Amino acid sequence: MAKTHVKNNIRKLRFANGEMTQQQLADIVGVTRQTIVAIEKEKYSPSLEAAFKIAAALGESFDAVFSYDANGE
Amino acid sequence: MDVSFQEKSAWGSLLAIAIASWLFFPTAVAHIAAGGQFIDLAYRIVFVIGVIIVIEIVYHAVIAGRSGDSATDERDAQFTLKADRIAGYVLAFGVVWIVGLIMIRSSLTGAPAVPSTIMVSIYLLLALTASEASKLLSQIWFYRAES
Repeated sequence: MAKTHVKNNIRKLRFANGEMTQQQLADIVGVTRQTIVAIEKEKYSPSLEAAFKIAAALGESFDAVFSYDANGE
Repeated sequence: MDVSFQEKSAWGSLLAIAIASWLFFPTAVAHIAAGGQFIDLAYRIVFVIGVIIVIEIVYHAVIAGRSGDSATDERDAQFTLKADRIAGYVLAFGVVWIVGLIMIRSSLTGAPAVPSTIMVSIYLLLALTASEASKLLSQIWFYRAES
């Protein structure tokens, strides 16, 4: 399946946040680890609410975590 | 392979449906060919439903025990909705196909417009089974494509 147009820095920011694991982030956000994996790989676009929760869990603003690439795949 | 609880659940349900179909449809066809009564088939249906329930309970108890996490999230909900829509299309197509088949058969062969109850029941069960199987296969496809 093609990647989404929503790009993110979650992986980089997780490691910047004390090497937070995907499971830890998933627990904070309230989704499954597989969903975090899919979001990181940019194969699934999270809901706005989940995206804000991810940004908050990583201690960053929404813009610092997510961006939109209209010309992407 | 990184498989979520919901995907494992879909695989288990698909397995249950496959076993149930294998137990029911060949027997049902043989039953009709032998001119059997509907009540005998009804017992078979109850038995097969029992088999599905047992497989589902045992399988889900095992995978829940192993993974320890059966929570669902927005992604699971989205996949379920998309799969439900596909299943709806398959069921609708199946019902229209059955009605069409009855009408064509009636007009071509002069057979009664209202066929035997047992025949219609089996066709409808087949459409329902195909619908459920397509839902589970769709869910698995969505999980595999986005993992």
